[in-house]
Amino acid sequence: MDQETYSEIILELYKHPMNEGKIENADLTAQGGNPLCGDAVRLDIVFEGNRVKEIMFSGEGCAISQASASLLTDIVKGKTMEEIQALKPENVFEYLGNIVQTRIKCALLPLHVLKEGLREYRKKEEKPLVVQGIKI
Amino acid sequence: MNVEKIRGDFPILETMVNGHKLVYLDNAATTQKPRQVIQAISEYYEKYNANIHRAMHSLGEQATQAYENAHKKTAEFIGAESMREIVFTRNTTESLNALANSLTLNFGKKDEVLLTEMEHHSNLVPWLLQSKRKGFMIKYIPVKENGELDLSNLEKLITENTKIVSITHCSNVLGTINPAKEIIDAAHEKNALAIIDAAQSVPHMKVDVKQLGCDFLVFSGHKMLAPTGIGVLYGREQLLENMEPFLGGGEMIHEVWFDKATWNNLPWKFEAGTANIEGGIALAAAIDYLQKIGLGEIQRHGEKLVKYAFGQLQRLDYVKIYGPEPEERGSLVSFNLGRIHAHDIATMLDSKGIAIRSGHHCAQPLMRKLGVTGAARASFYLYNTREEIDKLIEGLRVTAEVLAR
Repeated sequence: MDQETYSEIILELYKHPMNEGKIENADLTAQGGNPLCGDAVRLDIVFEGNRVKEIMFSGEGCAISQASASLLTDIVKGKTMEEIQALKPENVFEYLGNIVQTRIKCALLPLHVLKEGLREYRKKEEKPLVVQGIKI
Repeated sequence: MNVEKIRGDFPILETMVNGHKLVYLDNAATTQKPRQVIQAISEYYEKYNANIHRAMHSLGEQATQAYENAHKKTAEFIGAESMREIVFTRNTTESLNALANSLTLNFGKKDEVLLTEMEHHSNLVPWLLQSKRKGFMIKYIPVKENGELDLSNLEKLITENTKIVSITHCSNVLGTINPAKEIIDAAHEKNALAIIDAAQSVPHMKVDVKQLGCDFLVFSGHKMLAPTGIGVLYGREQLLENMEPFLGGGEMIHEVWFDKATWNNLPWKFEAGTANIEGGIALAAAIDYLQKIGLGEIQRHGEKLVKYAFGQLQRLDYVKIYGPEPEERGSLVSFNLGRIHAHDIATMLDSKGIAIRSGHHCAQPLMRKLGVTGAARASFYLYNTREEIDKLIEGLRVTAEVLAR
């Protein structure tokens, strides 16, 4: 079955994730999840000016949410805050491959956590900042 | 019991899902419907659709007859005294909400309601809502490691202040069949009312309200071959007589003035507004279908399937099954496969046309107690076969291979 249900990239990132871990003294830590299914994602980010210099993810949950989190860290590294806020779901699917309808939320959880965390960070203008309890 | 013949009655079992013939193992969520039930609905709309009770024309009379007969049939089905004890609702959840609202009207801080830790949210949240308004206390019968209720302290848990004991007959997560009679008797000893959530038991075994001795019993039509939107609230006649209506409107009244009203006879006192007439008629057709096969046969078939599934699951690596041994459970089994998320299991199986449920199964407090955020659940009914369980097991084997890390 179904290497197609889970694209190769999802399986690869799920089994051998990039940028998994935590950053001590991160400028922004954004944590969130989907209480319905127990998916949880934490993103630790260090900025250089307006740009993401370093980013790591940690968490637990289904293959799609965890692979998506790992992928996202790769996509946003080096990007400005504006560029990140402009990211759309399609940008995630472009890399992850087709996601079955029932699991769209899993795939979009990390992007949602990142954007919500970033919004708070720009509003509060303080660091380090920890944003918790972001729900999708 | 001729399963092949039964399967022929369920058109949906021919459906192809993702290129595979449907293997439907999500019966604890809702069951499929046989042609006989679907036809009863079409026949009603094609031949005698009309609003019931007050129509002075033939169609109205025919529809009223059919709808009232559905109450009678349901009463006989669960061994109730008469149709006066059978109120149709939308589903189990609505039945439980109705009871939680109507029975606690005069409750205060000292009063207690006893539930179990394995309740579906439907037998938990209505009580939480009402306890917030009325201030009464909710206590829980604990669940043991093996998935059974810990009844060792039952006598202490049911106090002089306990007014209601409301428990599930069969857990939708663990499959545990609870010793309902023992708990009902204990409740009655302290003059508490006993409510049984029979959503997972009535479809699968002969349930008799007199034998159980319960005061109220609730279940849903859609988990027993009937459509969604029709549920049952059984209550002992005397109790229903004394209970306040939970919905006001047409049909539930006897006489109305600008400043007061009196109530209709049972069960109509509790069925305000135009009823789900097709639902009632279809429920009667579903009961006919189940009784023709026999609840005993259905129960034995379910027991065989769950025993087989349990044994096959145990042979998989890293499988963790929740709940008691197959001899002690209803026709469902919840499990996890190592650290693979339950939703991943369900999605992988779906790609093979196998439908199971995954998640918290509307029992978050219980899942927390089990130390998991979710589980996969396969649940069976009269049309399922061993071959389908073999497909499930094969699907799980592949899932474990693809997603192991």
